Amino acid sequence: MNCRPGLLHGIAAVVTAAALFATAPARADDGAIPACLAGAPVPMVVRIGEPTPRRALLRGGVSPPLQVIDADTSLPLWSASSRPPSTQQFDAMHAQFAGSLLPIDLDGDGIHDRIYAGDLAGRLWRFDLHHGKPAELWATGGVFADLSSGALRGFIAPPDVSLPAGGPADPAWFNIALGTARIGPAPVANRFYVLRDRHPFETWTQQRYERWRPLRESDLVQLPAFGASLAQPAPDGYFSETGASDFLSPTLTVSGHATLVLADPSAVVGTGCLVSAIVSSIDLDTGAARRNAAAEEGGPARLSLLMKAGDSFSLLRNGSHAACMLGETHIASCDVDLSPRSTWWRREDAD
Amino acid sequence: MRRISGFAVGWMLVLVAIIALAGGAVMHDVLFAQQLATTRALQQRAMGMAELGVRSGMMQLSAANPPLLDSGDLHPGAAQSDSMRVMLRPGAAHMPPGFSAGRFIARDYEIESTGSSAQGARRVLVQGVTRLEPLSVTAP
Repeated sequence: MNCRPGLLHGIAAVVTAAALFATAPARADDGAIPACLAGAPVPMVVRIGEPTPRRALLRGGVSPPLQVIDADTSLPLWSASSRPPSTQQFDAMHAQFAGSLLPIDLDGDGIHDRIYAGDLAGRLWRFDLHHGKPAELWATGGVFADLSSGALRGFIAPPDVSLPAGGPADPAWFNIALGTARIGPAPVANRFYVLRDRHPFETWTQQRYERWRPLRESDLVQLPAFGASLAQPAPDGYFSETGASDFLSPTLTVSGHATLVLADPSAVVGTGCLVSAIVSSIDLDTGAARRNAAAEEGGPARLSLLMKAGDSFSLLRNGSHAACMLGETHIASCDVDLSPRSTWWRREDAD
Repeated sequence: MRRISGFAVGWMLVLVAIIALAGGAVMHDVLFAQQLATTRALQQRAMGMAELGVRSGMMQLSAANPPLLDSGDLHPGAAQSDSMRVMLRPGAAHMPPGFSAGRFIARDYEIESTGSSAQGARRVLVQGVTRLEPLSVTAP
């Protein structure tokens, strides 16, 4: 394994996180992240070394950091770490993964083709999945963005990936929205990133991943404040500081607007998972916060609430409308219109 | 005298023949026009049924989840001879631009609506539709 600058930080992250998750209930009162944020396994459909698809669960952990298990039998199907005995080894995988996992079905065939995963060292990984290949060759991947910067902050909430709004762009890219959370008891200056994957539908070989230079903060445009608008092109993405607020829940993007939850680490209620949070919404293209039309001053549309840490937005469908909920609270900014839209028309028995 | 009356009878016969031919032609035209009008009216009724079927398919895609893929023969009007049949064919699924991958999927549908009326009048309309579908996030 190659020695690299992030290695010591990664080891520190693993040790800190392991201790953190193991002792979280007792430490919740001193502001540490509750154990409920360790991350639930993510359902996916895979085809590893066999002709038929199989339901599976993707989960993060300490050793191995990434693992895919059979959803029915819990038998391990694939695992990844920096050294054996995992099924596949990735030199840079020296930090733990928690709940920042997102498998994606790129072609709509029901089988997941890509995984984006954020580790506790503040790096975003990208994996391409090769259907039918044996477990030892099933995934190719590497660090897509290294945003560690030496601070004790990492990714706990899953990344949110979306194509840009406004129809198919050529060339298309993925907007990857994700925010950091502190992984120790000390407050850190968190960040919210919107990264751009300019090769959204390309399947990369391992050699291609090894040639890829991970995006860093220096490649991104820094916004002067969270919710400020981009003043220049940001081909690789942008970011802003969000102070001590942790990103513990996944962002939800609807019609090009990302609705996100900023949890206040100083407002953890009891030893449970209740945190005070602010829900905000931004335009992913520009980073600009959505304005509250109802307010006289037209300030950013923000909503304060008490929520279970790690809760994600749910959609309550009522006919062709889906109400966006966070726990029991209705979040209007991510309501969705599900009405079908006509695309083409033909008359088959034309005279 | 005989010659003159024979000539008149001949002309009368020719005149009667011409009138008969003209009458027949008018009758034929009237009957043909009536037939055309009836056929057109029935085809319009069939077209109306087919358009109603397309709207019915759109409403199904708006409300029901999952939609009914084949409605069977429906008789929405008073006339038993008028019927419609709506078939929904799910097509390709793809990532909808501007929406979270893994939380939403856009699925294409074909609404094939067949409207029928009396005398075999039949119209088929096919409407392409795309629908945004939220994905379940629960474990399989």
